[in-house]
Amino acid sequence: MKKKLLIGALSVVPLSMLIYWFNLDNKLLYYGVRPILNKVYNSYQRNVSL
Amino acid sequence: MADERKRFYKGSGIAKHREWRGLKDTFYDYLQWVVNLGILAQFAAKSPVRIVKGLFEYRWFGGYIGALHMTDKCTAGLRGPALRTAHIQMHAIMKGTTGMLADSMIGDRRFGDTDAADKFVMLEQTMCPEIVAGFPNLKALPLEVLQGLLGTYMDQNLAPFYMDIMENVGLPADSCRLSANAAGVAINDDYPEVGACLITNNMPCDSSTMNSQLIERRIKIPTTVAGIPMRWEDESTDRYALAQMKEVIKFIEDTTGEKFDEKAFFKVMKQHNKEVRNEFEVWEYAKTPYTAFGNVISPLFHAFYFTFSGGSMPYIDKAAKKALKVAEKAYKNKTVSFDKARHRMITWGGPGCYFVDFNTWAYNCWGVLVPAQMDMFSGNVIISEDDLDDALLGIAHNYERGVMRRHLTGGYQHLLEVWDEAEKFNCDMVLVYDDITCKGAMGLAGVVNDQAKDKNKHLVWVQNDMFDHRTISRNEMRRQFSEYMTAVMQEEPLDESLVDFDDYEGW
Ligand code: SF4
Repeated sequence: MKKKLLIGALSVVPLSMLIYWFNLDNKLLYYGVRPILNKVYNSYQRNVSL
Repeated sequence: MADERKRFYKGSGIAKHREWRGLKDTFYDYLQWVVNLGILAQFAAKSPVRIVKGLFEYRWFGGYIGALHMTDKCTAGLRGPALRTAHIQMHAIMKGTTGMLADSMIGDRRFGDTDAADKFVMLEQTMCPEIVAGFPNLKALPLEVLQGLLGTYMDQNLAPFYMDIMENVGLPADSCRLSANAAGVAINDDYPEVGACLITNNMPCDSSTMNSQLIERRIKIPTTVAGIPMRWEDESTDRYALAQMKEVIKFIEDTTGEKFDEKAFFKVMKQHNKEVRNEFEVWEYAKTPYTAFGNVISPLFHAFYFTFSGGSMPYIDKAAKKALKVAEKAYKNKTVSFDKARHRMITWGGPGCYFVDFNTWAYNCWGVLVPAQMDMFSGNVIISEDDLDDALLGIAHNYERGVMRRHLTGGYQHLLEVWDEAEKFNCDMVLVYDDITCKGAMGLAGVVNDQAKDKNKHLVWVQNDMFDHRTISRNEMRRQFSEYMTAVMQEEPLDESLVDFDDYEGW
């Protein structure tokens, strides 16, 4: 168990470096999250009369 | 010749991979990215359910997912001490912004009634946070800036939706974009329902007055207008300014049931003064070739604490002191942090907020370092730490010298301060932004041109539409500046790939 935890903890560093270097965070947010959010926002009907 | 643009996807401007800054600086940048993730995790943990609800409720909130991208853009090309001061300041900005966003959601009555909602005094547009300093149980929270300016720094597509709403109901399309956006958010009912009361202000601009009225109609809490004198150099206006400050304090007392606490007030004023003194130190370094402060984040840091902290965010002073230590070491060692700089340029006037990293681009593409920009000269008033009337007047003076009040609508002589500041910061170039809907300042275009000729200064104008990239795109701004660099300055770009590229669809 301890060994598994240690391996898990140690793999976080290279994994995060990979995410950082290949800009995976921004790619996911821009190409993945952003279109979903826009779809949600576009589905709202608001009363925009003055 | 460098080919930096290859690193990005066309249109979106998203990087295929992050910047290689050499082993040491890339590893440092990676660590700071981890710190930023930590700040975002802390933010989400503050009230996960309400924050997620807010993200799906408010379109403007969606713009904030571009925060990490914005950090990358603003730190592009930085190395050594300059990279370090930029990250230190940026962490404080992130901490403050996420804190205010979280507070807006925690207190939002849309997501269920909560006592937390009454713990906030809402401040419209540029209203000064120092006015809430005497109420330790209350917090100042901005209205409009989170939904406009700050979000536009991260996502250029945030404001156009709201500006279109404003125009679609028949309001004037030539309004200042700042106010048009604020009005659009109000009409679309997209302000969080938070706060015990709202303090609006008397910006003299046509559209700003209009948006205040629209916001008042939509917002369901008591409001008051703080009428602060515009002609603040006339000492006879001081009595009026002081009376206004006292009225606002009484309004807060009446609407929240809290009592003004002098001891707490002066504690915050001391912090305010520390923030201002730190800024003066930054300037001394920025004037030298060994500065670790330059491009965009340092002026952003100033604008941030001027608008939101006013002494109430202790981590601002800590971050400033930490950055100053880095700068001091760089100066002592005569380290040239901006080694690509061929020219030093001051920027003035209302910038295109959708191109927040313009200075960074000018540095990387043309070797033009921006050690100072107009925002840095807002406020900077040392406030009395023991006399209440003097201190309240000091707050008014600090506010009256706020960026738009001082330079854009506060009298022609202040717009023209640019020449003195250019001299002090050893700039051989002056860039004045032609913000096409900010009418107050642009009446002086001819005078600025004449003075440039008289003073034999390199003056370049760059147009922008503040929040609306559809009118004058980032690439058009680049084109205007590049044209000047080749035609007048007779320079070759340091990186040809950065002169003309497509990032229209991007954040
Ligand atoms: S000073 Fe200019 S940018 Fe500011 S609110 Fe007025 S018109 Fe808009």
